[in-house]
Amino acid sequence: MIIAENLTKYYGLKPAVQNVSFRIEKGEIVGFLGPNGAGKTTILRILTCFLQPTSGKILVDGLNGQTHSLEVRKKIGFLPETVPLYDELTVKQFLAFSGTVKGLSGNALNGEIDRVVSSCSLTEHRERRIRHLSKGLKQRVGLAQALINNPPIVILDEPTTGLDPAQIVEVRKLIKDLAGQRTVLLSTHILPEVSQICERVIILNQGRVVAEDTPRHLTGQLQKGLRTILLVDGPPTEVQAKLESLRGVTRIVASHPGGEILVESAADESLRPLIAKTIVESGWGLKEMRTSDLSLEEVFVQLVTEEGKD
Amino acid sequence: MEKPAQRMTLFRLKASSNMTAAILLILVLAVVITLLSNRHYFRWDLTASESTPFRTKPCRP
Amino acid sequence: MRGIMAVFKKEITIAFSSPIFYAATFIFLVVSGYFFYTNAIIYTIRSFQAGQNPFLAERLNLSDFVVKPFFGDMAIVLLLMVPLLTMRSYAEEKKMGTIELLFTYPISDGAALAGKFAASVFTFLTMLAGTLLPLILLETFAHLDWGLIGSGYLGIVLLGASFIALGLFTSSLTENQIIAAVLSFGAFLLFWVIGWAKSFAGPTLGSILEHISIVVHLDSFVKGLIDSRDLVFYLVFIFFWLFVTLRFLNTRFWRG
Repeated sequence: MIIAENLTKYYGLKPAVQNVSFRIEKGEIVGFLGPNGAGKTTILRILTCFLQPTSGKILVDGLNGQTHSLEVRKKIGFLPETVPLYDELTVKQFLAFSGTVKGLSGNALNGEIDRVVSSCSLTEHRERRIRHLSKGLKQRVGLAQALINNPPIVILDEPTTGLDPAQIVEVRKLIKDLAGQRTVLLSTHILPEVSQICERVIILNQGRVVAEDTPRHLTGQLQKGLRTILLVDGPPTEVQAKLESLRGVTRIVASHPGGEILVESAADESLRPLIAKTIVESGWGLKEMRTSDLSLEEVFVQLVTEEGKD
Repeated sequence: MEKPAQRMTLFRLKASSNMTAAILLILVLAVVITLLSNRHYFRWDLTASESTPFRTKPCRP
Repeated sequence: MRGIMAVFKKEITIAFSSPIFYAATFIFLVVSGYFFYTNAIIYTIRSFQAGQNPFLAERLNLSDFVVKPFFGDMAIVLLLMVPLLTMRSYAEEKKMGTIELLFTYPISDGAALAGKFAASVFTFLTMLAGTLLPLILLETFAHLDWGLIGSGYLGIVLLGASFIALGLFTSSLTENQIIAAVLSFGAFLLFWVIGWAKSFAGPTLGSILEHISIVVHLDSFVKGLIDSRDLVFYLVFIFFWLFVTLRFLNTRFWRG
């Protein structure tokens, strides 16, 4: 269990993180979401004892990160954003190094190396020098060193940045498989990743926590009504005017080149059939009609720009 | 933001003086050890010809 | 202890796969070998001359004319080569970001430093091993004083280890390997020449300066004498710089 209390970190006079507090229970998969510079990496670095906070503290399973740094580090497997690896070593040598430092030796070490190598699909690349590996493979090696010796807490800083789509899918699958007894902390600015993998999301902006909840609650909270997308066969301005005249409709966004219209309205279910009826009765073709709930992306942008207005 | 900045510099001042003090302490220790070793030293001649007169017992100046 | 071994293994694997090690070793062995060669040649010439000159013959011996200068020359070349061995140590890790691994793994800063120091010394010893060759070759022609040679090597090893400790410190100061190398070279030079100022300074200051000079303490080792004062100096020097490095690494927590 991880508790952060009023974490503040200054780089010189600039605050990177201000008064951040959160609590993560055992076995959760939590995502830190935020634009670049929000302080995600700083917070993760504080959790892994790479940095010490200017004020505030972290408690990992009751151990204070400042006084019991070594014990805290024993519990954490960390993949930094830059995926730093020792280029001149082979995959096997590197994992042997990681494993030994984390407490393994002899047969246990070899067994663990085999295990993480196979779960990260690195078996054919065991004897290759890390320098010769592709980015995706290097990322998997990074993940492997974070997982070796089965740490109870796994912290991944932007694990899918820079990977191609196929590799991204693989890594996300790996992360999802980690769940269960292990606590996983993930930081990213790729929103679909969070909604796909994480049970809970902590949104950060400019060093502060802006929101904290499950993805569903967050989208539910900010979405204040119905959202419907229409594809109408008819003159756009007139269609728009007609829809705007309906009672309960708050906003029309006629955006996409395909002619889609987004209708935001009050949370009144009867409005949908009314919209459909209006279109048809006006003699226009209703080609498509579907609901569109607020995506996490839009929640994120809203929250971040709201904060930015302060 | 005056207060955090002040707190920061105070904190850093304390930490850096802590480090300097530790290094100075060790330096003093090093000097003391060297001085002591100069008072009580021994020499061990390994040359085949034993060209230099040597003492194996500690020497008091 | 386990952590120290792991860091040790990693460091030597990386060092031995780096071209810099081979370049430095090559230059070190070639240059000191060349000095050895010239001294040996001059000795041979003098030996012929000594056939007619009994006074010269009395003073002529391999130890004074070939072996002792050999160690002195080695020391000078080490001044240039050790920065190349140590510059990578912390500077490259900082630049590549792998320092983030080292600091987030369950290993103490002290253990990591011990592993790095041991690895650098081991690499240095490998480099030094090549210098045995000229001596062994000479032994087939003549009878060398191996007690003297043993003492000389001990001095060189301690000198090298002292340079390495200081080199590790300068490496921890920066991300840039070149700056680390230049700083360590400058520092070594400082500790080397500081003894020369003795003649300009008063008696107390003069003897203090002489005591700090890293090369003055090599003298008795090269002469075949193991003097506890010199041993103590080198050991204190090594531990001092290792300690300073450790303290400096700790400052990352409160520096910006």
